Amino acid sequence: MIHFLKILFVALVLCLAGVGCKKDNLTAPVDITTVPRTIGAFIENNYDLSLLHSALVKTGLIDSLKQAGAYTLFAPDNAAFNTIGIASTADLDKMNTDSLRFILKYHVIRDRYFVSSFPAQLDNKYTTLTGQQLYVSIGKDGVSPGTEGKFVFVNGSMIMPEEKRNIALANGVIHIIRRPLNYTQGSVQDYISKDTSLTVFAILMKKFGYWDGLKTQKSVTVYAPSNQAFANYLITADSAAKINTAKYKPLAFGVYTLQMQPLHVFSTDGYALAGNSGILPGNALVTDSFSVLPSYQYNFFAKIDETAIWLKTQVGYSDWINNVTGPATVNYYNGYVFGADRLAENGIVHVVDKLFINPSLMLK
Amino acid sequence: MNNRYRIIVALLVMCLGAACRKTEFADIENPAYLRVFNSLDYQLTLGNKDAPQTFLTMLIDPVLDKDGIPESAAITGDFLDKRDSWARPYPDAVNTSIWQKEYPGSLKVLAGPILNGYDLSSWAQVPSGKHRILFRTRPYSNTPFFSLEKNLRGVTLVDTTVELQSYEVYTMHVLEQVYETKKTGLYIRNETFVKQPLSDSFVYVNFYNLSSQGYFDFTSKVIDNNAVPNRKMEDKMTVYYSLGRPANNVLTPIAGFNYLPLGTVTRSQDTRVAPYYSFPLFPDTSVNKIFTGNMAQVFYFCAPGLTPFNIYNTDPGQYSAIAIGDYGYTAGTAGVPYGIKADLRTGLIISTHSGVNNPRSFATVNTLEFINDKFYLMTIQRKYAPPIY
Repeated sequence: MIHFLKILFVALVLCLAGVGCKKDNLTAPVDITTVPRTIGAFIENNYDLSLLHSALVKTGLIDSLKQAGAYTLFAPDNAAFNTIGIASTADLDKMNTDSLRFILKYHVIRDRYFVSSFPAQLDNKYTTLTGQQLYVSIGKDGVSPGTEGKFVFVNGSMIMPEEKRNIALANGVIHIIRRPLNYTQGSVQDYISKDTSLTVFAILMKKFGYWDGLKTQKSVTVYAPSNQAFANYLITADSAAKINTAKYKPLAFGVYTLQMQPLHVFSTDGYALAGNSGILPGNALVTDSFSVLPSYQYNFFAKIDETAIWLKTQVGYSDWINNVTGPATVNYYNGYVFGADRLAENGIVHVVDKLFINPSLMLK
Repeated sequence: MNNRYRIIVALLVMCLGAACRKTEFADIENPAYLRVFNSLDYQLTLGNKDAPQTFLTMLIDPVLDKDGIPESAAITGDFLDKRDSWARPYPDAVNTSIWQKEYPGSLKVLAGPILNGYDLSSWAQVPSGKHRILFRTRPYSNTPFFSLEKNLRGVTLVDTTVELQSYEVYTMHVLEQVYETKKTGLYIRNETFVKQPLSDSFVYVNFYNLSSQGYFDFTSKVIDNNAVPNRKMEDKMTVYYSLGRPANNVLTPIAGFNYLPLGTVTRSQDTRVAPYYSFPLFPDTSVNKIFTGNMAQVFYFCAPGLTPFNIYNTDPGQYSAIAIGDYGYTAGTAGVPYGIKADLRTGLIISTHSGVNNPRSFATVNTLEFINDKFYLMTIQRKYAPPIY
């Protein structure tokens, strides 16, 4: 009996071993984590980028972003498009396809750049697919720890933190930006002449002899008050054309071009340089004892950009007080998204909603 | 049995063969000794953010491409950041940081030898002869210069040719020459301390004012003299010194060593070596002649006609002072606005474990440079006996 059990036991073990040796010819499912999608495919499949996708489809660029790259795309998400008044595909359809294509190509640079691969300084210049340059500035402070968490601004537009930056894909990287970039072909002068809200400013620049410099100077930063700002001081296109330039001190209207100093300053540069302590007279643009201090902060809770331009007058060596000849702060005209950082080929225009200096206080 | 011996002999022969490895030591024939500082120091503000930044790459004998962008160089001193206030008497070799406070800093290069008893390990050996030297700005990143894309390889700040004599000691600065235009230039000083009969029972120090032209006049418009009292210097100043000991964190002068005249310093970017002035290594007769005890040295800079005794209500630029060593609360005040710790306990004197004594004090040779509104100290040490534990 025991002998039989032994044989049975051995037979069962052999049987089990035989069954255990069966090899199913299984094909493992494709591991999608090792085959990342392209930038184009990622945008197609992301609800937050649906407006960008529509724009890329309309301009025929979506296929380019599926090719081998590598590219770095500064991608405005739907929220960013909404800030400039583009809420649906219908709004995009109203736009000129060529200019839309140009500005979308301006959002792409060649090669793969993660946040840590940008040098930790202001104004790293990169050539975009349009051939124009964009400016990447790394801030002093971090929005989250580590080099990948530093504040980053592209032409004054913030790269969103955490999972919205450094999105690594098969043919490049996506960084989601706070608002779409803008770029105007032509000089600062061309920008001002095209903008119908700056007609009075253009007349005054011509009268006071700054106009040619706005075309020929290599680098210039302009704070241009809107027509409404001049109207508040009873200056209209008509009266501006008749203004007696000899009566005014140079600062009265020269302050808006910072007396043609060779500057290239975005609205976020002060914040990038000095972090939260950005509001310091030492960190301002100074001309003739008058300082212009663009401040910026992103409010992560309200999801808004808190901006202002602080104006100060120098009364002692390091003694600065609030502007005595006009408002202490001014804002960007129509808000930061529309007023600040209008980039042109030879400089930047910031459109502001108030005059810096009451001209009648600046008579000789 | 014979076979076994044969095998052992064969193994021994193999061992001998393997032991005959020849090591090629790096060697530079007729070297000159070179130490380089980036003495540019201007603050980045919104108004000057497009100015060339003070983060440099030194290229000796560079090869340029057709656009004038460097492609390679015989010697590269990369990541040259602003210099530290104290240039230490020994190399930075223990640290692993990529950014350098000086060249050679922590780079693994052939260092200088002990020359006439002076430790030149903070100097790099470079081939003597004529060299083209280029200083270019570079981005603030950890990417080596020649791995950067060409459009990121900065702008040239200095492009010049120098002739280095063999076995000579050189200290080189990138200096701001004109304050208003920010014109930069190269300053190269052929040091003479290795050839001078300097006693090892005296501490030596010489003074330079390498400020840029126009700094003193121009800054009165932009820097508040009252906000930074006594942080400027006129072109010609008389130097006084005191040796002191900290008591309750305040310096107390050692008897007989208070406000003693030492020499003069004149603003100049001339590369002549300034005369060395000295004070005794052991000024305090009450201590043993092994360790001086915690102490500090204070140097006072007074306009001609003034002494540290009558410095009240001076105009800007007529008075300044720096304390070096264990100065407690004394430095950072209006009376002594500057302070550099240097050797933690004894300032210009090096106190360290040597032989059976721990600590033991050694005299040094020092160079104190005033550039625009900052002091920089370079300490050179002599060779001393290793510690016995």
